[in-house]
Amino acid sequence: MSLATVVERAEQQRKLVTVYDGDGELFEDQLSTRNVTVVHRPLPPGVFEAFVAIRDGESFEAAIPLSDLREFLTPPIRRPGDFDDLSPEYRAIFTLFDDTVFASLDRRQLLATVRELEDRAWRTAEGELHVGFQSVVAFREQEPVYRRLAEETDLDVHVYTVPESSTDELSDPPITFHTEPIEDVGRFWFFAFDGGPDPSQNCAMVAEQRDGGSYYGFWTYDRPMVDRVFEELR
Amino acid sequence: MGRDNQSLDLDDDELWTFTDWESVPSSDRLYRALTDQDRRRALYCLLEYEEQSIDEMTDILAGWELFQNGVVGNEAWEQTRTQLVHVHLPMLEDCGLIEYDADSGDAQIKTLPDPVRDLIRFTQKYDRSLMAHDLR
Repeated sequence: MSLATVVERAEQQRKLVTVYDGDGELFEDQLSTRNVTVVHRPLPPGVFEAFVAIRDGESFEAAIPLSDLREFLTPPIRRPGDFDDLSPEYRAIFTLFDDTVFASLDRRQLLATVRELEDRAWRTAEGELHVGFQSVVAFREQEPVYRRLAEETDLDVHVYTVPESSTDELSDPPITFHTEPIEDVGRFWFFAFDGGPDPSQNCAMVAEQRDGGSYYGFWTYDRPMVDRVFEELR
Repeated sequence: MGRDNQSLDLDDDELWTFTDWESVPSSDRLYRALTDQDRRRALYCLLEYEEQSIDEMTDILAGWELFQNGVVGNEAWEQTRTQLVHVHLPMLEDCGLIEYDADSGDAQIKTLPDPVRDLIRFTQKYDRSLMAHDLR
């Protein structure tokens, strides 16, 4: 299992948006928490209206006028139902707003995020839920929540943690405990729910603890991303 | 090498004299360089920025197209880039207007006499005026 790989892949999927505008109009607020990097470049004077170029890694995907992107960014952002029938350039624009959020976050922000994900699992009440705690202490703090999820719903709850001594008695049905691999479990705080009977409810969060106690990672409702997290856990 | 400080004053009867005649493209080469819209645009980009990477230049040429097309995708972008790399930039270099490093993908404008610079700017204004009229 390598959750680091999953975080790396999420990072590599970052879109690069180059805003050619000359006057440095800002977009960061709207795109900063998305999996998007924004850079600004000038335009030759008096030539034409501002536009943006969207790249996936090195590969150019689309250019559209800034005014069009602004319209897309005006809530509510609706992804068309016939997404797969869209031309690749319009798909590129919509995937800018895929629900993958990538950021440096503190514990409190992540806790709030995980609460939302837990709530999805609770409401769905079926399916597989995997959650990793970096220590037994951290798990004990959240134990009532997960015990309730395991006992009062049909959720199949798996908890990963690092045992602190051989006397830790973790085995306690209906929760299934895992203690391997210790290195990943100790480094990452993670949560993954497959959505059970309703795949649209699937969600995942993977965050690596970095120096100074802040976390770096992502959360997502994007199916392929959630699948990737499960692949690493199963 | 300083630029010749002469502007495109056509009422003035005096002929232009250039300090560095070596760097002045022949009439045929100069006008041939300007016979293609993308080439005129590439030249104008370099005139404004002096130096530019091929990818950024392609972005800007794609951005120009947005006026007419609304969106430019990967295929059109790659096509524009290929044309720049294999046709336009080598030709502009051959005309003595730019220097192009195929390895790094960077192009830069050569020191050009003011009347030539003015002519490049003229082509942009002219193209833009016609385009604005067409779009009206």
